[in-house]
This record gives sequence, C-alpha cells and structure tokens, in this order.
Amino acid sequence: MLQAKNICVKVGSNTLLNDAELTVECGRLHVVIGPNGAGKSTLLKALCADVPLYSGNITYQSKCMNDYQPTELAQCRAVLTQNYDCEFPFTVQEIVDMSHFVHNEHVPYEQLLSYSKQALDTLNVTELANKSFTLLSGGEKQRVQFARVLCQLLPALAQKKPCYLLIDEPTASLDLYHQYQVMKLARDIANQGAAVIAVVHDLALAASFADAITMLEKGKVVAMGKPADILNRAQLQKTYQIDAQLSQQAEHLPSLNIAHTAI
Amino acid sequence: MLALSQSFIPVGSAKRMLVTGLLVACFMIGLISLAIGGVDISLSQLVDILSYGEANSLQHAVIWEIRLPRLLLTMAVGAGLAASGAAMQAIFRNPLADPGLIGITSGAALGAIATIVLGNSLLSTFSETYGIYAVPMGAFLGCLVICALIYKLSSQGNQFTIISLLLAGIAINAIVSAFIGILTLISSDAELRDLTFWGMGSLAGNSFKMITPSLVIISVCCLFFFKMAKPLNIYLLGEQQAKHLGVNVTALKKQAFIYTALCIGASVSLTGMIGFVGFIVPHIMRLLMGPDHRYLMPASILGGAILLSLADILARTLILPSELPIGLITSAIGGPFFLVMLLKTYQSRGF
Repeated sequence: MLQAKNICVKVGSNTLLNDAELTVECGRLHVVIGPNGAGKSTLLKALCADVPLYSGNITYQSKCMNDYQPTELAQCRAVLTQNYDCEFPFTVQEIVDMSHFVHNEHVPYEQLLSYSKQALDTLNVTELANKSFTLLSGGEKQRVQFARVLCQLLPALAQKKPCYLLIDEPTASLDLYHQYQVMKLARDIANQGAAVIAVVHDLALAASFADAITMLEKGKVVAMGKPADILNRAQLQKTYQIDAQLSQQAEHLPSLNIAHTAI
Repeated sequence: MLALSQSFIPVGSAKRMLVTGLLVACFMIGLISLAIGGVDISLSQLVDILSYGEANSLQHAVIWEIRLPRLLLTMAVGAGLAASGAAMQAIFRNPLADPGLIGITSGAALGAIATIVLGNSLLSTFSETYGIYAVPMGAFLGCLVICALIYKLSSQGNQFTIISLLLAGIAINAIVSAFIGILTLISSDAELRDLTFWGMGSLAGNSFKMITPSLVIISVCCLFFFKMAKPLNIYLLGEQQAKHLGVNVTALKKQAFIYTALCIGASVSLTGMIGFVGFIVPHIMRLLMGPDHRYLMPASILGGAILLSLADILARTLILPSELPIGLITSAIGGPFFLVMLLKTYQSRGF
C-alpha cells in the first residue's frame, strides 16, 4: 500500500501542493485528474522524491519512503516521467534492458532477457528493437519507455511482491488505439497485484479504467472516490468550468458528452 | 526470441572486435613510436633492446631513458584525457562537453603555474614538502577546486543546463587567465620560459621516477571509469530516470568528478595544456560503436592513447632536430574538428 499524508510542496513562495492525501492499495488503479496547473505531476513527483516535501510523509508498505535504500525501492517501484527523451543513439533493446540494472544480482540473466522480450511484445514495439531510439516518433518513444518501466516491474510482479507503478500522462502522444491499449495495460498491471497511480488528462479514459479517482484543483484534493461518483455534472462544472457529463452505452466504454453551450 | 538474440550477438561481438583492433593498433603504434626519432633504431634492434635490456649502447639509453617513459606518459595522458572526456560527456548528457571547455583543465593550469612562479616565495613550504612532485600536486589541487565548483553549480536543483555550464566554463577560463596573467607579470625570466612552454604542452624530459605517480593514478582512474560504464549508460536517460532505475546518482556524479580531477590533474601537471583529446576521441568512438559505455569507455581509453601517440610522433619528427609543442598539434586538429561537429549538430537538429 502506498500512502501519502498531508503533503505540501513549495517552490520559492509558490505552494504547488497543499495538504494533499492519497492512499492506493496494491491491485488498484488510481487515476489523478485535474485542470492544468492543478499539481498532478507535482503529486506524482512528490511520491517518487523527484521534488522535496515541504511537509507531510509518504509511506510504501507502512515504511517511510526516505528509510528505503534507493535500490530497494527501484526493485519494486517503477516511474514513467513526462521527460523521456534521450539524445544518445541507444537501440530500443538497449533502453529496455537498462531496467535490468537493479535486478542483475538476484534474477538470472536469461530470465531478464525474457522479461525484456515480454515487455517489448506487450507494448507492440518488438519490431523497433534494433532501431535507434533517437529516430523514433514521439508516440513510439513513449511506448518504448513504458516497455522499460514495465520490464523493471516484471520480476516483482512474477514473485507476487508488493510493487508500485507511477505513470505521468502515459497516453500524451499516443494515437487512439494505443491510448486505450496502454490504459488497459495499466489496468492489467494493477490486476496482477501492483498499485498503479496514473496522471491522466482524458476523463473518458480515466472513467473507463480507474478503480478510484483523485481530483486536484490549485494544489488541493477537491474530490476522491469512484469514477462514477466524481465525474458528475456538478463537479465537472465546478472544477473544469465546462458543462459535461459521462455517458455509457451498453457494451461500450464510457465517453464524455459535452454541451455545445459549454464552449 | 531466437531471431532477436541472433541479431544482437554480432553487434556486441563486432564492438568487441573493434576494441581488440584498437588494442593491436595501440601496440603497433607504440613500437613505431619507439623506433622513430633522432637516433635511428630498427625494429629488430628495438626487440633486442626491450627483451634483453643488457647492452649499454646509445640506443639502449635512448629507449630506456627517453623514448619508453615518454611513450608510456603519452599513452597514459591520452587515455586519461579521453576517458574523462567520455565521462564528462555522459554526466552532462551532452556530446560536446569536455574537461577543457568547462574550465577543469585551466584550473589545473592555474595550480601548476602558481606552483612554478610562487614556489620560491609564497608557496615555498608547499614546494619543499612535495619536492619534484610539487607542480603535479599544485595542478591536481587546482583541478579539484574547479571540479568542486562545477559540481556545486550543476547540482543546484535541476535548473543547471549545458548552456549555463558552458557559460560558467567561459567565466572560469577568464578568471583563471587573469590570475595566470598576474603570475606571468611577476615571474622571473626563467619561470616565464617554463610556464610558456608548459602552456603549450610538452611530453618531453620526464624520467620514470617523475611519471610513475601519474601512470598509477591514471590507470586506476581508467579502471574506475570502466567500472562506471553501466550506471553511466542509464544516466544518459536522465538524472531522475536513472534514480528510479536504482542508480545512486549523487555518488555517480561525485565519482565522475573526482576521477576526472585526478586524471586531468595527473596528466596536465606533467605535460601542460593538451586540448581537445578528451572531446574528439569519445566522439569518434561513439560514431564507430554507439553510446554504450561498456564498449565506448575502453575504446576511448585506447583511442586516446593512439591519437596522442600519433600526435607525438608528428611533434617529434616534423621539424627535426627541434620539436613542436604537442598542445599546438592537438589544438590544430581538434579546433576545426570541434567546429565541424558543432555545425553538424545544429544542422541535424534543423536550427
């Protein structure tokens, strides 16, 4: 279980996160949503110590994040950030294999190679394996980095250990098919026992896959709960200033209906 | 799976072949370098002298007293400069970084020149304590101070970009040249000659006794650089990404800076300023075998040794019986090369 209590993040005199809270059990997909500048990415960065906390504390399995050895956390937690570019011409295979670093000592090499292959297959990038990363399109780069992150978690998932996946806008540069495929993958990883926290902009995507949603606004948590309870007309009007509501037809995933008077 | 692994093994083995080829080339050039010079020594004579080592001939003295220490120093310095260049390029995630460009080399120069000029007055206790190693020690300390400064500057949050780093390098170089100017003004004629030649770089006139500490330091550092290969690869993904993959980023950065300070200090102290080796060699090697430091690092170490040995052969033979300062040759080759790389980088990015 990942738990964040009363966390504040300040940069200079700006408060980016104010008293935010978050609890995610293993096996759950938790989506963080909110308008631009609400502090979604800051929350995710705080959870993986990329930004220092002004106050509050964060625990993984009831143990404070700062008490972990860096390698200990890397064995059970993978993070996909928004900046994933790399100027050096590594091949896709080499990038994905970098996730072996923290598992080298306790997982056999052949096993790690098969994890790499599994990750490449899952993200649909096996054909790119020998290509230079610098030559890929934005969406391909994002999927390759997701494959690297997945590969980092596979040993922990296989051993049924508690593990965590933090992903910041994993669908930002993906086409429609891959948006749903990647979110479904996040769902699958949660089903296999990981606690998954995803920052997502697309509310329909969030509603389609999330177990729970945290809505941020101006650095504060304004709503938290099941997607159907959070994404109602009043809340969307309040937070996004837009007249919209979720609708769902039989045998379809939820979609967002937006009133034409809204814009 | 089979197709995948098969298509990868040749790539790795090709890289290993290349490294082996470089090792052979390095050895050959070493032999040639020993044979060429003012006193003619044929290869068969050379083998005799190196294997028996008994005859007290002129040739024997030339090899053992002059050419062999000089060759070893040349190779070590080339290797050290290239390895620390590769490490700096990785740490700044920019293929244009170089210990010289960001001011580390001039830090060493300031330390050495201060010891040369002030050795008899202000720093007399320092130069007495370290004897013949006073100048190397001064260079090393100067190097360490600048490295610490750069490390401090580049660790303030994530705001420190390569541009501000290069600008800081310009500032550091300017400050250092001001100090060197002052030291030049107050130096005596003999000291002035010493430091002018020192500034252009020279591999001549070092005994085994003089070069041994540098050889040991550079070899150890190269070994450590090689051991850092895997974390350096991951570091190229980004500092935070490397941290999330389990790399101890702070330790890695500190180690890279300390080994660079040691390498540059150990080489610059004996040879003076030799520019651009640390920039060109990793660059060429990256073009040949890609960015993987497990191969790039040994290739750079060997390539640095080869390039500087070649430059030294030129320096010794172009204007016989005197010789060119080695720093002039590396800068004459390296400067244009740097400009071409810069142009190409901007063209490929489209701005």
